[in-house]
Amino acid sequence: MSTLTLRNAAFSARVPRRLLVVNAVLSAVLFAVLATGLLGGTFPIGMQDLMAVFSGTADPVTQMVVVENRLPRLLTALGVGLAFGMAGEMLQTLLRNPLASPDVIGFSAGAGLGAVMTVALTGVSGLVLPGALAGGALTATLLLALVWNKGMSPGAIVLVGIGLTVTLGVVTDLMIVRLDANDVGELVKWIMGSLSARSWEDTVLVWAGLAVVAPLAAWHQFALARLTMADEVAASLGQSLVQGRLITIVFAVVLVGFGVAAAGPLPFVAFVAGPIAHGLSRAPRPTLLTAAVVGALVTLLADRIAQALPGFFVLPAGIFTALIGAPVLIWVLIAQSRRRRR
Amino acid sequence: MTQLSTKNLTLGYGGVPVLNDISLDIPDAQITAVVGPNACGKSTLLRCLTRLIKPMSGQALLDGTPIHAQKTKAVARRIALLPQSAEAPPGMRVSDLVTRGRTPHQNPLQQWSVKDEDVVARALAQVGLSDQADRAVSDLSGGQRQRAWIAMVLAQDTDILLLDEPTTFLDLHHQIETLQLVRTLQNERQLTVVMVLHDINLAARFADHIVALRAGSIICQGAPAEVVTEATIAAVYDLQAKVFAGPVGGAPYVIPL
Repeated sequence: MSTLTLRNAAFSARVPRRLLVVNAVLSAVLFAVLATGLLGGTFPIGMQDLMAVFSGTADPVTQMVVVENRLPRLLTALGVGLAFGMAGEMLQTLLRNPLASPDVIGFSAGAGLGAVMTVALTGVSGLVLPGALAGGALTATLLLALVWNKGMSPGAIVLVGIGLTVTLGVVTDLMIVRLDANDVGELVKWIMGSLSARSWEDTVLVWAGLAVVAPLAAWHQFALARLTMADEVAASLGQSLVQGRLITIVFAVVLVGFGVAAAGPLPFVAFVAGPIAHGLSRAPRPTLLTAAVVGALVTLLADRIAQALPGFFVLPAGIFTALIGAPVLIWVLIAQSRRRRR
Repeated sequence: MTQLSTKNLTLGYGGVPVLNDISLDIPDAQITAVVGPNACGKSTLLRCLTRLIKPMSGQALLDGTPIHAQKTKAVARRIALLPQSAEAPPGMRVSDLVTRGRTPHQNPLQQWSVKDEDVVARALAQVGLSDQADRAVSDLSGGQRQRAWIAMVLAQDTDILLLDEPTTFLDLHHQIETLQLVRTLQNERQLTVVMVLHDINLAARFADHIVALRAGSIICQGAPAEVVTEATIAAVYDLQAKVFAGPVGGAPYVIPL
């Protein structure tokens, strides 16, 4: 496996050639999925219509379909997928365990419950973001407190985290039972995750989060890569352990909070992104960019399936991310038990 | 004063001291071996010198300044640690592992400078692994793997090297090979080496200075011929032994009775 050296006065890095190729191919596929999402569909739109929309000369129906319907939906799916993919890769790398993704260990469930509670209590959706962030942060704090005595071992974090996910799910269900049917329809989005009827508000929300966290996460990737080494090695290389871990968890919680506030938890997107990215690139963790693009692809594909089904099968995209994620979960579990037996 | 020293250092876990009131001057540009029975605090001492644990009281000093008051990165440019039986992350290649040693000299924007490339190539050559650079660390034999880790530590380009039981899990051939490599590298660059060793005979043969610990205290220290005596073996290990002048360079040789 050969590597490529990138070097100038301000920047130097060494990148495996295979990783570059994988990133390029995935980005091309992502672009194609976005383009077909914008152009095709039940109300066909051609390149000319698109140009007309952007110059403001399109007919009102085309204008509405593109600007009010497709663009926000696609851009929200893209942003949420990138955020979940990145968050999953960060936690899986930090805890050195593919099961330790935010949607498996309770961060997403916590953010979802936070969102549901704020909407149910305040009656408006304006405070969803603080609610989701607080829910995610509280869950993460609770999880860390529960495993503190166990030396914060990855195994303990995964087990306790799965317990938290189930518990938070039950709490969410209880809330739903107490609410009346009209509100529940509204809340489904934050329980399962859905991309239908996205508005520009959701789009702006998730992209604002990305604009802040993604550059910081890219900078943090250097430290995160050091944290994959044994503790004494990372420390003797000059990486401070507590600070590095804390930053990683905070970034993951914030990314998940923004994603959940915009589109709900979308189960398994964060979980599948890393394993698929590394199955393709075979590069050592972390590769945040690759995982983020895979997360976006999974989200967009799940939403495409959700839209393609006939009308009486209207299901939220979260169902389909779960359908994509379940086989990967089984694959990871088999691979882990095989490695342990060896 | 030497580069590395400790002053009334007490170390422990959860309030229980493991090392008591240790004052040590590690000789510069020499190999110091720390020996003693299991759980005497050998590894704890190294963990403190790499800032993994904080002193309960007293200080570990680097150039006269407490190590724990210095910046993590600055310490990492002075002191490197070869951990005991560390595992490389899955999928990591030899050249990636050795490059990790450059960490304290890098930042997120400068991860592969010309200097990094030169130092990594030199470290690989020094341990004889230049032709294995693209192999996965997990595919190497035990002896090669240990040399890959030594190359990582060398790439860190420090003048102080801490080795935590560098010969564990190696067969006799690779034990000798590894220690000879350490001796050669120490000579070339006048490194200050501190290594924890289980085998008192290897310590006597490869170290300039031996520190013998028992139950958290220094029993004695000095040149191998001063430390490795029948009296100290009894005092450190509770073991009746005969000590001979060994056939290799006159280093003392212990045969337990």
